[in-house]
Amino acid sequence: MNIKLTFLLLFLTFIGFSQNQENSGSVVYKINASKKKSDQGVKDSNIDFYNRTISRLDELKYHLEFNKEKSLFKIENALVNDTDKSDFFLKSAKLFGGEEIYYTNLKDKKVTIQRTMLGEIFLIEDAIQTDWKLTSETKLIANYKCLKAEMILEKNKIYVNDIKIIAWFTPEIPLPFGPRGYNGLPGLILELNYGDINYYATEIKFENQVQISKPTQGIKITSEEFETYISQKIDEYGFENKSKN
Amino acid sequence: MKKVFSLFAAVLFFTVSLNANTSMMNNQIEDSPGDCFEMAMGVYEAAVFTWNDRARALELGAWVYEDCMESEAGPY
Repeated sequence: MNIKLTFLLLFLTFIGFSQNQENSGSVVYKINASKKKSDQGVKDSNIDFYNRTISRLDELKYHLEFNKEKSLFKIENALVNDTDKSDFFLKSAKLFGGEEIYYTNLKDKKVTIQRTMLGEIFLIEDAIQTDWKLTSETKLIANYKCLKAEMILEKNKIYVNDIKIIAWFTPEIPLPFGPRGYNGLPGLILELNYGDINYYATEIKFENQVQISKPTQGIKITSEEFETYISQKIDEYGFENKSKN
Repeated sequence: MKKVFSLFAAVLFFTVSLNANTSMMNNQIEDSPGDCFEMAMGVYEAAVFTWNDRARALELGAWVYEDCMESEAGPY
């Protein structure tokens, strides 16, 4: 009886230790996208712009830091935007991959996005997305067995078409975090396909007690208000008004 | 000087893409606000195609427009 109890205690201690070990840490993601070929009805200059932009994606790196309750996802050197003035396609690639900071708090069930837009910093609050559709497909990423989940980001004032989101998450790391504010799955997302762009994990580290702070600088705004703001600014610039000179 | 370089890639890209000729380039020097707008709108359209995202496209289009307008030489 005593031996059984000792084994049970040792087992529970081991489980507790390993869970604690995997409760906080960080993931490095790199990004890529497939080239597009000329297509009827699409301007060659648009295809060229796309291909030149994605050719710079391999220069970018993203970090996800996480603990039991919170996560923070951001590009390396986030919010430093004056150093790359001389490089148009690098700027374009950064916008494609995202320069925002995504903070997730499971307790509040909210994602806070800190992003710069036209020289101003915004804090956009949103609920954690939970509309995932789980599939039976699996694949191995960095020796972790991953399951596939899908979601459709519906067209709105910002997205001109629906965007398909595919997440590959591993229940072996049972934390519901991932890149670009995508959360809510029963395991860490090691690969995220966001439309044409892929975020894939290249390093996973576990550390004790990673401290994560909520971004506080910026104008607080809801996602609906932000959509309206964008539409107003596009009107002001006249980018969708062909007759403007 | 930095501004000129900042727009070089964009201008080169769009002038080549739009098959710009020498007289068009000369006109751009004389009429910079309109041409800054045309170039920024071209960037905006290409960015919407690339990202499917009007907010990011606005950011890049506005960045090109403001940079172009601030440039002493205009968009070449």
